[in-house]
Amino acid sequence: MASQEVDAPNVLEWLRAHSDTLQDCNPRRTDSLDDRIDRSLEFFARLDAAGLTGWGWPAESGGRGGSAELRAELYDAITAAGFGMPEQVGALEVLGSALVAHNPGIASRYLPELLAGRALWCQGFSEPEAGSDLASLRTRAVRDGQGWRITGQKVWTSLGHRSNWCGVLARTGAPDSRHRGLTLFWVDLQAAGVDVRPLLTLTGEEEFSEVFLDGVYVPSDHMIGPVDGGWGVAMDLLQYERGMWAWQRQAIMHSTLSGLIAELDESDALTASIVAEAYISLTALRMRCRETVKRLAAGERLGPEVSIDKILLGQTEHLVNDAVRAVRERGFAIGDSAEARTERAEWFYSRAATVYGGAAEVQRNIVAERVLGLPREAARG
Amino acid sequence: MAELVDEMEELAEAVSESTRALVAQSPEGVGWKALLELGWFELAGEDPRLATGVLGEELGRAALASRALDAAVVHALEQAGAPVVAEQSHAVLYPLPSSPGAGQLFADGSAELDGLFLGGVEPGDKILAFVTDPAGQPAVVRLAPVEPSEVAGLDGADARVRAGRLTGRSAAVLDRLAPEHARLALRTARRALAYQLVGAAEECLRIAVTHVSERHQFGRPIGSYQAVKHRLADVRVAIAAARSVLAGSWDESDQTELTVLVATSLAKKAVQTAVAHGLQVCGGMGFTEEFPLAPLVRRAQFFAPFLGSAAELGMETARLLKACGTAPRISGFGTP
Ligand SMILES: Cc1cc2nc3c(=O)[nH]c(=O)nc-3n(C[C@H](O)[C@H](O)[C@H](O)COP(=O)(O)OP(=O)(O)OC[C@H]3O[C@@H](n4cnc5c(N)ncnc54)[C@H](O)[C@@H]3O)c2cc1C
Repeated sequence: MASQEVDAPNVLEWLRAHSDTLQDCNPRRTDSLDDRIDRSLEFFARLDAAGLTGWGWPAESGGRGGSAELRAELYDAITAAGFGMPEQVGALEVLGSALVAHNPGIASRYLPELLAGRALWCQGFSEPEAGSDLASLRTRAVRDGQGWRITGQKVWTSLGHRSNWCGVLARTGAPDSRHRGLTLFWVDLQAAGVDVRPLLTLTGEEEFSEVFLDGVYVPSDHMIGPVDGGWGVAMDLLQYERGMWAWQRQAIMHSTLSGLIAELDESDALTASIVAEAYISLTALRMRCRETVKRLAAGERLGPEVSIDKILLGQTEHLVNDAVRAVRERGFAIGDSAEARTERAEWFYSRAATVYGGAAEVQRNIVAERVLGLPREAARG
Repeated sequence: MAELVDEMEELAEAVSESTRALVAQSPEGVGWKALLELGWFELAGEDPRLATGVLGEELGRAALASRALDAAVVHALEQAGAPVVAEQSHAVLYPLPSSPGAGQLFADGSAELDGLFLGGVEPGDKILAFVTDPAGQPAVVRLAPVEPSEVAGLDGADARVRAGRLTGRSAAVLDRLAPEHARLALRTARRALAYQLVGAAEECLRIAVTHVSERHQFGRPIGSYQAVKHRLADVRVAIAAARSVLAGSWDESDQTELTVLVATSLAKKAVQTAVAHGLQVCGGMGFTEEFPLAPLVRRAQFFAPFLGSAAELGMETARLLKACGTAPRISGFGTP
């Protein structure tokens, strides 16, 4: 995966030059989630038509080649040019690398679709009884002729009800096989036996869904990685979930914080210090993730230390959105404008950053035991 | 590419080793001459990041007295074309805590001084001082040599810093450095300090991890308790945050001032977190003077307000953000 030299276009320049004509598909933060998704799809379609998506994804898998750093550059450029972050890039980063590494055939079929703004993906890992303890999940996949049949329930699946494809982690081993008996499948959400129900969240939007699977047929070539090898694939993918996702979030938060600076009154020392603290943490997150992205792009396997990125992300999300609340206190509490609603929605969403993708406490356990080498707790297996 | 990385790693290892050896042989502190003999200035000319980082971290771990901040400042100024020569031993007069300068410069060219030297002053040292000019702006001036007898030794929170205070009116201002050199001097001193604080934080963490892994209570190592683990994990995170921004602060950028400011804040936070959690998880042992945490705890307290307290650095950050009008994205990928 060493970085091939490619002549990638300067996205930031292009976006700035075409900013006016792209405003009708700018997924603005004040839009409803459904509108943001529609615009995100159109936004990617236009970028794709201009030859701007797909850089940093291998050409064999439907990308345009080049170092994965180009992906990070794109996310930064989108927000720096004043656009909202397209909704599909979260799942793209989380699942895309797993597809490329573990099932290039599937990747070359479905990656171009997403990059052209024609599809949305989601991640079906968590279950009602398996959150932090993911290895206890119970959704089962059993062999059926040339394929598999999956039965079970996923929950908190981000954008599940708008997605076309879902990466479903299911049990293929014995019920007590824990992480040794899991397999990752690429599941068509339009297939028979799938029922997706959106859930209203604290943000006031239907951010995630429940996904019910009742004997859903999945062909064998839609396995991502080997049978019973799902845990390894999931751990691979979590590097991107913690590193590249955090990079996307820092890009967004720079825009959020930039929007506050004009209103900041430096003579109000209390508020100024809250904003400064947020910026300090945000810069730490950015510099940390940049190192992580560089290592990922160089093909390095990151160990448990990516949990540090995730902890910094959670902390920074809280600080940045608390800073918004501090500067815009009155509107935040009693405002009914689209801006005030958005600020509240973003503040609530920031609280989830210490829960999703591995909760903050679990990340601290990982850092303590696997980075610092502290003794494990007796009870956990 | 891989060979280059290997070579750089080898160089870094060699530098760390010789620096560790120097630190180990110098219980009384690392003076200018020792830095010259180590070849620190040549190394800094080739690789200032490695030179500053390794020296700072090793000194921080050992909580030694040193002239490392002075050397970093003089080296950076020399490289930038300021009228200083690193071959000659210099001592830098730093502002007292919560003071903008180590003295006030008057329109007639004289100055009223009150500032700190770190690591002792030798007879014949050239003197640089961070002062405030008549318009209230920060400036750096060169002063005529001071007699060590004019400098009052002090213990403060940490006698091992070997700080001295110079007080009194001095007419002997030789000249004033250019404003960009004054800014360079400040951020260089802060960055060198930040590396020392990161080194001190690492050492606190190492001591604490060893202690909680060995000590048993209720039949288990105390390091297996989550309350203890999470504190130390937070120390690891705080150190990592400071390290990443310090590394990024060497990038070619028009935001170096802001980046170094942020790195200094993070390094101060890292060492305070390390000290607070280190003391807590080491219990009564940590409270004992002979336990190795003691010198690090004192060092962290001495430096907490030095070159800006957390609150002051925060306000300075807010002012810079306001001046930028945005929250700048420090160093990205590709074209900035
Ligand atoms: C906005 C949002 C989007 C999400 N999107 C997705 C998605 O797209 N796909 C998907 O699969 N999942 C998704 N999730 C689910 C997410 O991954 C889980 O919420 C997360 O793994 C935590 O699991 P849980 O909610 O069951 O909490 P629990 O595991 O019940 O944890 C609750 C609390 O207990 C603490 N805790 C648990 N175990 C330990 C321990 N061993 N030591 C100390 N403390 C512990 C946790 O840290 C947490 O604070 C999303 C969640 C949110 C909030």
